[in-house]
Amino acid sequence: MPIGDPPDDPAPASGNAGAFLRLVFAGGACGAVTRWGVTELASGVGTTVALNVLGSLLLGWLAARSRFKALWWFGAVGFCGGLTTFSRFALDAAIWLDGDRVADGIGMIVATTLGAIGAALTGYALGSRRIGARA
Amino acid sequence: MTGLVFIGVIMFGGAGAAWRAIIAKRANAISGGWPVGTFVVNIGASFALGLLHGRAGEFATILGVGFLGALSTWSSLAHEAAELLRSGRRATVAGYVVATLVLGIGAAWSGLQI
Repeated sequence: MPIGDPPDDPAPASGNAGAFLRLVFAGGACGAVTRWGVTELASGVGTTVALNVLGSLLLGWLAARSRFKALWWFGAVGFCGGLTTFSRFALDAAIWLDGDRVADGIGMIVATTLGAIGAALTGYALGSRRIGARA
Repeated sequence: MTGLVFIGVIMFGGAGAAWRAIIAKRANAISGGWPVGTFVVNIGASFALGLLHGRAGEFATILGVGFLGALSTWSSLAHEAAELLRSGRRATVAGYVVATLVLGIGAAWSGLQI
């Protein structure tokens, strides 16, 4: 399923492109400024790893729960997308692997990859279970 | 100057996320299920952040943390990998994740060299 579309609607009508973009913009702005604020308080590679795993957990949960396009666009594509970042991860990894911290670099890459994908699966499972319990 | 960076990260972070969504919508429509949109923005943003590295000043922070940070994403990558795993496409997951990691980190490294 493409990430741009809500889980329950793989092919939304293209008529409301303006509303879609405004919601993604607003969510992305909130996510990016949260990431910046947290990084200002606690800078370091560990912070980026934690935000990437946390954002993936939330997005997985939203993927199972979002029945409204607006929430998916604002919360998942916007907020979670803006909160997490691949470019900072790749830059930190490149600097460590190219320097004298190869083992730390590999550890960080493995921790982020397994952590984020595991979190996305866990978040989805948690979201799905709550729906099942109510039905 | 923190106020300028605050406003800048909000505006450029929003713009980065919006461009990611536009590119993902366009690219995913032609890619037959392979999440090429996320793949492209992650590698492109990593290269650009490598280029930007070492530059001081508010605008470098706004561009790097705001625009490139929000343009690229780990949560969409993780969710797409999870979706592919749930549909049993293990080879595609491995290819997608490994290609993103290798090319993304390689792109950041290339940007650092220039």
